[in-house]
Amino acid sequence: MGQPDELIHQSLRLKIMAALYADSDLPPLEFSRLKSLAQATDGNLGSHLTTLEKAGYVRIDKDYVGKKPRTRVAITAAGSRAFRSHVDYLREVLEAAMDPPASA
Amino acid sequence: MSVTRSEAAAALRDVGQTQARSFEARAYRIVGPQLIVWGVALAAGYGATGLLPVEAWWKIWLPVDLIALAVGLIVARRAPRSPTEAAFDARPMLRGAVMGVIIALFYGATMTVFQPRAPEAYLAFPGLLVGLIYALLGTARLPRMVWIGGAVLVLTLGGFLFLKPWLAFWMAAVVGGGLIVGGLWMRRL
Repeated sequence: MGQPDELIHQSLRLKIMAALYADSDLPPLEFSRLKSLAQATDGNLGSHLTTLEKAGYVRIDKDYVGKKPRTRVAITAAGSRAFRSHVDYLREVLEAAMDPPASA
Repeated sequence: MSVTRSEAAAALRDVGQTQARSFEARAYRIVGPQLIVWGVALAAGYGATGLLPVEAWWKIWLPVDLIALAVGLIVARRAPRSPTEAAFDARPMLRGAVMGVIIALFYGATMTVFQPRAPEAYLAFPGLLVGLIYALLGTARLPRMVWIGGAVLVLTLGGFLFLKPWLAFWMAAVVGGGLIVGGLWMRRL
């Protein structure tokens, strides 16, 4: 059985990674859209994104559209691998719990 | 760190729900602008229909439909796409054209079978058809489309039953306006 990823397993970080992974084939997600998809608030989304960025799981781009600041977030290749691996681990935990015990 | 079965189940449920929201948001980003385009087209078409005699109606709807189709295709090409996706893909346009032909044939066939004597039936039926199509598409995990389609159906029927003298303008307001509002609502997710 694989190993859990403690960083991703936190509930909101898992939702953030799930949203970014689902849209990984599209241009980076805007902060407000990610907030809505992960059902987060401005404050906690920002702090969890910083944690994920430090781990190399997400990339945060900040720029301006006219005079308006814009923050966009994308999952990195390492983040995609870590997310897939953690979801596989979770499935293994469920499957192991459902398997009948081997007879003696 | 170890994860219990119930924690794993809850985490996977969160992942599934988040990915379902992502699917929904992505679909709305594609459909929302199309609703706005067709809402404007229907509002203009029905508004003009209300001002012209029955014999001249076809002169409005042919150009309105063609212009809306062309604008819809331009808008569709501007939708966010994957960097690996081809810049030009004719398949969605072909699917849209086939759907358009099927809907037009269904409309023509229904009118031929029932032969309504009241010209208002020709105005109301497209509204019912649009409402039905959106509501049915909405059953594929797009609940906002069910609401929009349902509202268009009910308001069209209400206008046909109670507002016949002003039906064209009613349809312009509720069907055209409803699709515009619905399109804007979809873009908010």
